[in-house]
Amino acid sequence: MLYDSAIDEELTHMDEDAAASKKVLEVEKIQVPLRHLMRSCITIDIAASTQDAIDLLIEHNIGAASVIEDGVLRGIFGERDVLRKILNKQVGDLTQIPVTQFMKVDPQTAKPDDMLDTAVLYMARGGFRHIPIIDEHKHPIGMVSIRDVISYLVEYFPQEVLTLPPIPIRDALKAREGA
Amino acid sequence: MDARTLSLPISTLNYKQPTTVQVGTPVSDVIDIMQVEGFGCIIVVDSEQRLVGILTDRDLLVNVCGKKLDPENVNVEDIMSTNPESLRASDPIAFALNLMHLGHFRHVPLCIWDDQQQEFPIGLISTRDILDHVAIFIENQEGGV
Repeated sequence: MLYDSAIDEELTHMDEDAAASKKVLEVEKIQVPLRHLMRSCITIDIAASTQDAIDLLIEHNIGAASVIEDGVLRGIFGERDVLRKILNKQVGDLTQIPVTQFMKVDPQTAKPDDMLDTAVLYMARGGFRHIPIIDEHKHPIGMVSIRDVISYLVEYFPQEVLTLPPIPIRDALKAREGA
Repeated sequence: MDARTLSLPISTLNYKQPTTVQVGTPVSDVIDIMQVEGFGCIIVVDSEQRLVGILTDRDLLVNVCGKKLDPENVNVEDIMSTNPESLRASDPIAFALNLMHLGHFRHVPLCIWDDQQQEFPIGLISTRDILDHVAIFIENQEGGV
């Protein structure tokens, strides 16, 4: 098929480009300290209502927030908790229900000097999207998410990823409209 | 893991078969499906199974919990993202990374196109699929493979 040959041609070109770059992501490169990758930590007090926590997620456009008591991490509450535990569940007035009822207690955490590969394995093995970063007093000081891992890969392979055309040149005969 | 990996087709990853709902489905039914299947994302199709939108747990958070829309009285097309970016399973992994990074997408539908350039979803690639791929690489490296 003409279509298949167009794909093969594009893949061949990409192979040639990749072979030319010879860039390899060595495991040492994934051992970058999380302090260099983590985002600022959005927290909510343990006495807050579930609705307050939801509003916080929306306001800050984040997927999860750290729940703290006297500055110490007690749990994590995110959009996945909303889907799994709240929606369609007839749980009642969320302004009257503490976030503690739906948060994940004692979540997997990492230290700022832990390496990215450690966080990746935590996320993969535990099915986590977010890993709170805590200091020696269990105070949350940051958050690392799957998105940060994606960003790291993109920044490590900028030539291979960021220089791509917006749409794969998979079929020059049938240009897609931009979606 | 090297630059060559990024030129491999997305089909080399363990991407998922798409769970789809049709336009007109109440959001409450969509929530039920996502809870049962354990998915954070669902693909919306028309009666001809063409891709028309995508709905994520983020959309549910913002619209149902934030805007207080009643999921039993709102249909999926009212809160979904329309005309989502999509790729083919034969496209290189680098394109998925590019879309996920620049578009801040957690999920990208994989489609086939017919002669009229209409998209039919056949899969779904997520940031987690990429993460799992990296994790396997790390485990192999640490295991000395």
